[in-house]
Amino acid sequence: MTVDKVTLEILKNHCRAAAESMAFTLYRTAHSTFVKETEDFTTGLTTPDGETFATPVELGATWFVGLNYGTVIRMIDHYDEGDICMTNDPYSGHVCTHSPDMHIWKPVFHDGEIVCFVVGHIHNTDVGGAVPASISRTLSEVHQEGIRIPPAKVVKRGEFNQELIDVMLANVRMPEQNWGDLKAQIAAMNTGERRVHEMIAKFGVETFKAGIAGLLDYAESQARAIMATLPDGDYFFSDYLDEDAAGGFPCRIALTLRIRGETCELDFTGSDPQIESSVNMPTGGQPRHALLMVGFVYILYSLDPTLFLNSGVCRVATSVLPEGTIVNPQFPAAVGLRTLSVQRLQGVIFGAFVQAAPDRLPSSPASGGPIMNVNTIDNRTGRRVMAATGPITGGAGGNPYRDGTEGSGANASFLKNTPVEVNEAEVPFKILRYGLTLDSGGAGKHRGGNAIEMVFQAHAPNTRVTARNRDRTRFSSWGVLGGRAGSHSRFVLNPGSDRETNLGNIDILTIGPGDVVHIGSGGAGGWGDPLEREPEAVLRDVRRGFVSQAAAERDYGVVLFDGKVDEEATRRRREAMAVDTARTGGFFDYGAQRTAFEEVWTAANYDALTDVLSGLPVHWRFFVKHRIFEAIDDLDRDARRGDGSEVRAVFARVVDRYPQLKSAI
Amino acid sequence: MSEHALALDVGGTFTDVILVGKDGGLWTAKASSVPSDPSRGFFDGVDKILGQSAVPGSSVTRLLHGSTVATNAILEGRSARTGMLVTEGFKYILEIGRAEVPRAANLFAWVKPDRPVQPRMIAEVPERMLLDGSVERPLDEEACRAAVRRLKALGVESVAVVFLHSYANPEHERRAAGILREAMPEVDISLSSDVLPVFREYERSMATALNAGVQPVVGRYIGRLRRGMAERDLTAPFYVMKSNGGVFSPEQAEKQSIEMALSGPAAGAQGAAYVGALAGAKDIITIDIGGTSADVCLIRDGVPAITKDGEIGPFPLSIPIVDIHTIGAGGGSIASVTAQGALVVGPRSAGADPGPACYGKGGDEPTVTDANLLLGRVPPHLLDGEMALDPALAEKAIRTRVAEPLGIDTVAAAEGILAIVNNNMVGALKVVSVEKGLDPRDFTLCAFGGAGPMHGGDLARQFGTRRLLIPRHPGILCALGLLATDLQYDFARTRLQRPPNYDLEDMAAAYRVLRADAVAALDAEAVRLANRRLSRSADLRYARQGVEITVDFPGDSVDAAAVARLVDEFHALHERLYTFADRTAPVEIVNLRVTATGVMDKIELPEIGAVAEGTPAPAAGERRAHLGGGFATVPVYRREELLAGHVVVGPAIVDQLDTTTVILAGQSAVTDRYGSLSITDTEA
Repeated sequence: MTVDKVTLEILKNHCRAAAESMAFTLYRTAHSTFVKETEDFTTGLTTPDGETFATPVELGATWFVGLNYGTVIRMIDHYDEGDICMTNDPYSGHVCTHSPDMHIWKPVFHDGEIVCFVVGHIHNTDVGGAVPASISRTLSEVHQEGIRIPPAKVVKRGEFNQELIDVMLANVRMPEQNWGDLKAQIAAMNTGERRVHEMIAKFGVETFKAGIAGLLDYAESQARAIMATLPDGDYFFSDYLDEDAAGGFPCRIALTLRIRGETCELDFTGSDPQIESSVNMPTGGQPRHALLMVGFVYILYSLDPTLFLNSGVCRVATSVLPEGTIVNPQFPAAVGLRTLSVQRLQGVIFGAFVQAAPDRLPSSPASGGPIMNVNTIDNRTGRRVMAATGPITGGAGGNPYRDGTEGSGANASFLKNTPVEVNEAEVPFKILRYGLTLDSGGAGKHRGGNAIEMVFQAHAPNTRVTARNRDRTRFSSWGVLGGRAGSHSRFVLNPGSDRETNLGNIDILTIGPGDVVHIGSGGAGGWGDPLEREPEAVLRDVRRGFVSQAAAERDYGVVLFDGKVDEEATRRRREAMAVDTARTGGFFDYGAQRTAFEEVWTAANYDALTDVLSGLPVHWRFFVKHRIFEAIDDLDRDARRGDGSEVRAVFARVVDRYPQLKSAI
Repeated sequence: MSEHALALDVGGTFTDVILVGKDGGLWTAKASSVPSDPSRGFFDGVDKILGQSAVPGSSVTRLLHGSTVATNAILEGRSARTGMLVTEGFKYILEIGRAEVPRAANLFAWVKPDRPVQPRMIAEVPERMLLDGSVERPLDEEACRAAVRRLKALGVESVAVVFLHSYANPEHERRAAGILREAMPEVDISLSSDVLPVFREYERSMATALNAGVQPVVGRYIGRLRRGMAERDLTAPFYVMKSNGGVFSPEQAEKQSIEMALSGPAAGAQGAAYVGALAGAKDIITIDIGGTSADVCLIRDGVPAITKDGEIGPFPLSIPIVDIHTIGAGGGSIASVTAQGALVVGPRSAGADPGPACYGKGGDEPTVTDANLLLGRVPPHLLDGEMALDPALAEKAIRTRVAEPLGIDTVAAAEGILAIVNNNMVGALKVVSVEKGLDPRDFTLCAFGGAGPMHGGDLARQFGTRRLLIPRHPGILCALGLLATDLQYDFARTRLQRPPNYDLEDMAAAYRVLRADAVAALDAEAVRLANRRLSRSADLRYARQGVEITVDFPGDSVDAAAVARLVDEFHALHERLYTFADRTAPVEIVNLRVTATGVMDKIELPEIGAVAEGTPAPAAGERRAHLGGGFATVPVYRREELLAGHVVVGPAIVDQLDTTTVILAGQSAVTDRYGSLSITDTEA
């Protein structure tokens, strides 16, 4: 049967309200502050096959509309009414993507038949393992990231599976929180189930079943219409994490986007081997994995904000995820900090799509700023105090319509910052400055958003600063269509003193009384040629303290005199700049360091690297990649051809050096 | 002449006026608002009702006023040119905000709303307080003077001063105010330690900046009102509606202008609480359905819910306000069919201009009002024939924009539009109740506003309340609410207390200061001792939580026993709100509050005439209408002909000057002594 449009619209609102109601229940009843502060949870309704057809829009991690629970649903061989299942194992079905995320699902029965599932996840503060909170970049195996529960029934026919719960709680650091949050999740499932039964009572079961199929089809048809507006073609894009290990080499995520009519393929061939830290993204090679689809859904939504969001929109995309790479690691690679690589992945997806629709999509958002914790001693009480001091975030990329937002958006996620006055109440330290970084947003017709920076001073010895997710001290957020790359992120000890130390990408630091730390995110990329920016807009930026007078002249060709635009001087300077064709490198501006890096690591060289590594067993790839990078770094300038031959030559020498490798090939 | 209370609520389109006499007289009037000069709408309303009632201005003994002057100045960007002084190193607090991207927003495309004060207008001053109120770096007065000169050169009309930790010690802000007054005696000054002396610098900055922006606007407006009143011999004490559900004096309004910003919906909620109380309903959910939006509010035990996490437009506003949940659904909400063939209603609205298609003012998109007209729920003339509606235009808009694209007939299309908008509104009713763990069956639904009574019957049935209340004057309930308000002042101070070291003496000292402020505010209004109510409360949280819960502070003193009871009450409240309490976790006391109420002598609403309980009301006529299940001829009643005790059995329609009440088949309505219709489902 088909469902008439009015009923479908009302059913759609009921479904969304049901998912929202689940989220309200979870939020209201969850025990951990973490859940309440970060809203790192999801709720939703899926078809019996696991396709998500409704998610909340107001509460939680709102953009996981592409989640498909099919794999884990099928790992339970039989469902009875009243069962609830859960898993937090990133390697069982790949719905869960790191161990703190406890996913849970409950079948909803009507007359003995499963009509849908209610589902959701919550990020537990801790699930045991090597470090508190279970996540650290230094971990290399998933076994270190806490207890893993493969898909199992936590409630059987309405009765708790106490043995399973006891095992879980015995393995975590704050069992009462986990238990409280699990109960909240179960309450949310029961709310969802009740709402589904109400819908069936209102609409009838046949209308409900046909309606959810209709909702998925509706979303798919919208997505198809959006895709049809993009020109067919192959679009390649890649970007790097600064390091694949502490002090290591860059790690590349590469994407060839193939747009064909109303559909597309995302081919991640060319991405680096999985790495020996916890930044891998466990997709299981699923062509519509939620981690990929988050970025894709943002693309569709950026192109058409009226899009109704459910997993039907994902049907127009598929992807290729080579096994043993950072986008599809093999068990037991650690995955806890995939947040960092997922940020970069989303940026890569935007980089590919922006080539197909440069007049409709933004340039790269900022990243590289950390989520910070400070652990110090209160001089008055002698007690150790630890507190999260909030994320240090960058801005959004410049977009076709206006400047990127300052200090928030995109990779900054929905995380709220922590007020200065709250930070100083929680942590005995002093904040000297909290503001926006001058000249950090990439220049452009529409400027990239400026980054946030914080400068603080420690009061006690042995003050430990943890700065998770740091990156972008080497490579920048890219600009498009003549827009310039954003600034680098910064982590500097005692700036402006004779003890000034640039801390690079490190994420743990111990400081003492009087030490001053400056930490800042990278800036976002600009959109469009800075010479096309209205001089008055540049003047406004200078007055606001977003752009320096020197940068106004250097990057925008706008000459200011006595607080006003010198129109004649500006015209002359812009004319002179316009003839300098080297000024804009091409469609993208990647920043000087990436340009220099890619003079060595040309496309052909990287292709050769991908090619030789993909022929190796997975456990050799990271090792061999490092040996190749070292050897290439050592090459004489005149030995470099950039055509891939030097990589193959170097690889041959590595194989010679390690006879063990030969037996492994 | 007897005593009279006069209330005026100036809205975007109409100024609603109500005059009540102690002798039982009651007059209502509507005047057109004049957005360019709201005082003109105000006095048009005053003149109209005084003329109509022949009550001389001199026998008005109390005048109450709800105004959108502050609201509109903020929402339409017409605030005064505002500068700001802030602590050195923290110029961008306002610009950065809390990085508060809405959850529904596209992170890649979201654009931060422009701040009320741009960085260019913000000057840094070397000074620093610490969180305990100690001075770490004295205010550099020379540098402060230089900063003030820069602001002066920028031509500011008003200045906000926000220094870090000033809630703990306002000394530097006050010194800066002195320097400002020396240099610019004519500008308005807002200190964050006056406007919102609690921690969290962004929220405090925003409240102070918004206050500074509207202060000159409100000041000029109140000046015009004073002059106009003097001309009309109106010498009665005059009070202005606040967002917290109370009123304050115009002198206070000129200083704390921001407290007026969300007063419109607050007055409506107070009106509903008032008529609800007269009808014996204490637990009420209100829905005020206007042209573009519907405002929903929860009332428990006769008191509208209060929040400290409110918003005005895109900005957070952390002062206590009546907690209103607003959605974009109203009579003017536009129905349209998307490219993929879905029917959506709202949040886009035709507003008052061009308005619904049936207004014949050039709107060709169908609205909820057009659907109500097509289905005969609304008569083809409003305001007793002053305003004609054109059913043919409504039919055409619905046929061409909805029915034909969907391939259904126009009646089904109109039904669909109502079904969708009602469904959206039921969703809003659930947000304030079901999603907070409350059962709709325990509440009375009070529907008002121009479109409320048309939809109330459907909403009550779908939402599952047992009783629907339609006030006698649904279109002017906000004005009525003004008559029911008291003086109310909220005072707060941050005094962060961590267990086990609650500093009782510190808290007691803070309460003494708050109490002195409260008493001073009531003294200024010469409130009689018998009419004074002071209540203490505190904001508590579990350590590391980012939000607090406000708990009544027991007793009159601050001692260990009282604090223990306070903490117990926090656990209990936390359990009620969030289903659990963690009695082993440390509880922090964050803010201390005192609320001062000056109870006003009110003039009660007069009772209407009565008939024997259960008397069938006399029908005034009939019309073809579709009230569910197809068109039928249904009886039509005149609201002003309904007397206490009259019963109307659905399906039926009750028309009155500015709205229409729809009573569905299976529902019946009883008129009470004050003219409210109490509607219950007889079938359920």
